[in-house]
Formats: sequence, C-alpha cells, structure tokens
Amino acid sequence: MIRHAFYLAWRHLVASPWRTTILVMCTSVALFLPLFTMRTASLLEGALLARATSSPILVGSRGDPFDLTLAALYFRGSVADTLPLGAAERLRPYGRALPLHVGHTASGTPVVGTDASYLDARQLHVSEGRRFALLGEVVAGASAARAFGLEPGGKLRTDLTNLYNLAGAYPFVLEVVGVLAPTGTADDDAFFVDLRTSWMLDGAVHGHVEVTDDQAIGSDEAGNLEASAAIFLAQEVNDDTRASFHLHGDPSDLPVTGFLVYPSDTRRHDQLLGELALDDSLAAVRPVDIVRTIFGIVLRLQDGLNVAFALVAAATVGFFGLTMALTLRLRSAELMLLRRLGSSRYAVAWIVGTEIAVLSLTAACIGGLAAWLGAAQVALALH
Amino acid sequence: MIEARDLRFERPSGFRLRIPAWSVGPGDRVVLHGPSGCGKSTILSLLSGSLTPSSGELDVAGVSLHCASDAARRAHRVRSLGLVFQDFPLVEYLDALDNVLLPFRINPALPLTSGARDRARALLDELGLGLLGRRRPDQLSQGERQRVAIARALITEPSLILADEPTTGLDPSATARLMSLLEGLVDGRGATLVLVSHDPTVIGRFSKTVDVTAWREAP
Repeated sequence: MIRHAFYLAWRHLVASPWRTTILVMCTSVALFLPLFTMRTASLLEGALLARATSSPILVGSRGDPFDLTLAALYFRGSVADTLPLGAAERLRPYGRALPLHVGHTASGTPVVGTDASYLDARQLHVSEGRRFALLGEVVAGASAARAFGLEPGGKLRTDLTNLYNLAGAYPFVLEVVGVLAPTGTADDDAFFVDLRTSWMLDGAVHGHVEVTDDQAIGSDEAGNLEASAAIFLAQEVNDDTRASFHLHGDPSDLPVTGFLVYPSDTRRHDQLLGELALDDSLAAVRPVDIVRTIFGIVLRLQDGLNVAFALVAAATVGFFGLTMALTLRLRSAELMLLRRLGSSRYAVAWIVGTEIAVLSLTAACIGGLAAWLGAAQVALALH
Repeated sequence: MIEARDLRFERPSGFRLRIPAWSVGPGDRVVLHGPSGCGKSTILSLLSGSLTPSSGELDVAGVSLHCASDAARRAHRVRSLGLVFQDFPLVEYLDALDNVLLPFRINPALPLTSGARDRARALLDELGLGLLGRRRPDQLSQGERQRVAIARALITEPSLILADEPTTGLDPSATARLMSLLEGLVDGRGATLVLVSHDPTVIGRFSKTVDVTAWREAP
C-alpha cells in the first residue's frame, strides 16, 4: 500500500509542477532561515572559540579588549594605541610572548608582522617554499595564496595606508618565499612577515636607491652626502637595495599591536592577569572571555530572530495548510472515486499523507542542505 | 449471482426501500429503471457494498453483504465487481493505463502483478486505445474517456458489472455505440450486468427489467 500511495502522490505532484515547486520552495525557505542561522552561529562559535582557547592571553595597550582580540586573533581592525616591542621584557618571566603587528594590508588582506615563533606556536607549516627570513620576505596563508594566485618567487604589493599622507608609508613590493598549509583559521587569510618588514611598511625602516652626487644638496662635516627630496626611497627590497635599508632608533621602542602570551604554567597565567589588572599602560585579556561575551550578544540577537522565524514558519504552515485544504477540495471527486472503487478511508488518508510527507521531506532536504552548505561557506568566509 | 430476501433499507430522511425477493443469475443482463429519486442508484450502492441494508439478506457474487465487515465489503467490491459510473470519472493526473490499473493501487486485496499490467494493455488494445495508454484524460476525447473507464471496470475480470446511468448526456447514436460496446464486452466475458437507466432506448435493449418504484415504500 505504501508503494502505491507513494506512486499516486508522486504522480499528483509531478502533474502540478508549479504548485509543487511553490510549496516546496516556501517550506524550504521557512526551514532554511532558522537552520542556517543556528548552524552558522554554531560553526562560528566553534571556530572562534577554538582559536580563542588556543590563545591563552593577549597583552596590549590599555584600551578596548574587543579591538585587541579582533586585531590580534583574527587580524581584523586595529587598536587605538600600540605598545613598544620592549614591553616583551616585562612579559618574559611569565612565558613565551609572541609579538604581533597588525594594520597593514595587501589587496585588502592583512599583512601580519611577527616572528617565526608565532608560526611554531600556531603550528603553521610551510607547504611550499620556506619561512620568511629576510627583510621584505612574506609567507602567504593558504587561502590568501590561492585567492591571489601566489607561489614562492611571486611578488606582493602592499596597500597604500593613507592616500593623502604624502609623508607616510608607501606601498612596498614584497617577495613571496612560502605558502602555508591550510588550517581552517584566520591564519589562512593573512600574509606573514617579520617585524622589521612591518616596521618597513610603517616607514620606520627604510632604504634608499643608490645616492648620487646629483641627488645630494650638500654634505655634513664628515663629508657624508645629505639627503634631499630628490633621493628616492626604495620600495622593494632586492639585491640592489637591501644594503641601504636601515632603522632610525631603537627596535625596542618600535610599535607592535600586542603580544600573544603562552604562560609557562597556570600559576604564571594567573599572576600575569593579576599583575596587569592594575597596570596603567598594559592590559591582559583572556580571548576566550571576549569571544564568549560576543556570542552572548549574538545569542540574544538570535532569540529575537527566532521569534521572527517562528512567525515565518507559522505563516508558511498556514499557507501550506490552506493550499492542501484547497487541493483536497479540488480533489474531492477523485478521492470519492477511490472510495467508491474500493479504497478505505485509511488508504485515502495514506495517499494524501504520503503526498504531504513527500513535500515536507523534499523541502526539509533542500532547506537543510542549503542551510548546512550555506553555513559552512559563511563560516569559511568569516573564520 | 444476486439473491435478495426481504431486504430493507432506509435513510434518516424517511426514504425506504423493501425488496421482498430478487434473484439475478450468472450471465443475466438486467436494467433497473424508474423516475429520478426512486432508489435505482441506492440499489447499486447496496449491491456494491457501499451501503449496508437495514435488515434482510443480500448475497452478491458469493458474499453475504448483510453480515460482512466493512473491509470484506470493500475487498468484495474491488475484486468481484466492475463499476461503471455516470460521467465516467477518471483520475486526471494519471494516464490511461494507470487509470485502468487504479483498482490495484487502492486496495491491498488486489496485488498489482505483471499479469494485471499485460491485461490492462490488452484491454486498451481491445477498446482501440492501444496507442493512447500514456495519455492523460485531458488529452482524450469523451468517447476515449468512456472506454478507459469501462476498461477500468473490466480489468479485475469481475463476475458482476454494475453500471450507473452510463448513457446520461449522450446523444442516441453515442448511446447505441456505448451500449453495444458494453454488451459485447460483458457477453464476451460471461459476466452479469446490472445497469441503471431511465432512457427508454436503453431499457428496450434488456430482456429483464426491474421497475424500482415497485420496491419503494411510503415513509
């Protein structure tokens, strides 16, 4: 009986393609919206929490802990105040302190300054080429490399920080020396350079093209040529310009966005949080607390959305029910014929119920699959 | 084939029928006639088991309908009877072949076998519809729809065929063609035919007639 009920239901659905399509699509959308939201929130929460729990403590300038977390963990946005690299000395007794310099981009993708120990701590393995070692070298995250078609030996031009800041940093051409294996984290969507290269992008480290007498306007008492505006700053580190790059000032005074700190043990973890809680200049945050706070807000928003989704679902159920009721009324002669030929009420109910089940299951499959795939795409794009 | 003894049926509205005794033998062709509302179609419903008698005995094709369960009456209807309805209703979303096979899909008493499918195709061939098996009712002419409905009534090889005013709305020549077709099919299968009509030309084709007004009782 089930086989025949399914056959009759199927033939009826196929014979009314527009009605069937509209019913399936409306029901799919009503199912898709809450499933997509819940699944996306769940995936994002999982991904963000995973990264947050793998990042015990962030230390930055006293300011907005959300800005620091987003900048240092996900390379999004920037912090209001940087802190000097020398601050690492205060953190060293507590464990490993990995510097992070965030703020520069290349074609909109973050260029993150750090040192090789960050790659070790995040277990970022080079799948092609090698790690950055020299000034001007960059290692591309897996997604960033794929998006820009980069491979070792390629060139990457950084973005102009401020179009109207004529005295500020200009775009640099960096050399791609490696590509990282994918990790499914924010590291996939970033470029990594060493801190000196970040400071080069800041303008603190710079080099000159070969200086000639024609470009000089004079010399100092020692006979050294004095620079003029006619002397061009090098915008690419290569064999011709590498020797000319130099730093004005002490590296420990140069800025970083913050430090990712891996305390040696639980006691030092707690000590660091306690010491910096009352500090005037430095602040320590536990990323996992920040992410949970953010998701607390998201969940409250989701509660509001769930009410809206419930209304959409109720409207869809009403529409579905009305359509089925009208259809049954139109089919009353047919259903009466089945009864007169020898079908039971039970069998007629089976036929109608099977049709509703086929419609609902098809809509559930479409809505569920779309929600599942859509959420995965969104999570992938936003990680 | 049909034995009715002191059969009574009444509706809450006051409508009453009483059949003291009625017998139809195998292979007989009987027409029930009478004015509208006299109870012709009610008798067909009693014979098919769609209605149950208030009292008395009714045996149809070997089944005592007056004491049979609802499931047994439905099984009897789908297995032993061929039903031809007024206006020849078909299921519009099924093609001609599936319409003919419909009795096999609505009651587990009749399993749909390859033999049934072959028989359905042969019936359509016999009725001149061999090339139209995959057409839906809205793609068939009125005459073709009638023949599909008759094929559906014959597909289970019933011993008794009940036809409820099958010629209503047809012109005289169409009526004659339909009756000739129906009679030929029934005779060819040795089945019994009980037909309801108030058309004199149809009634005139039957040697056995029953005026149902004789069985109607005053409320």
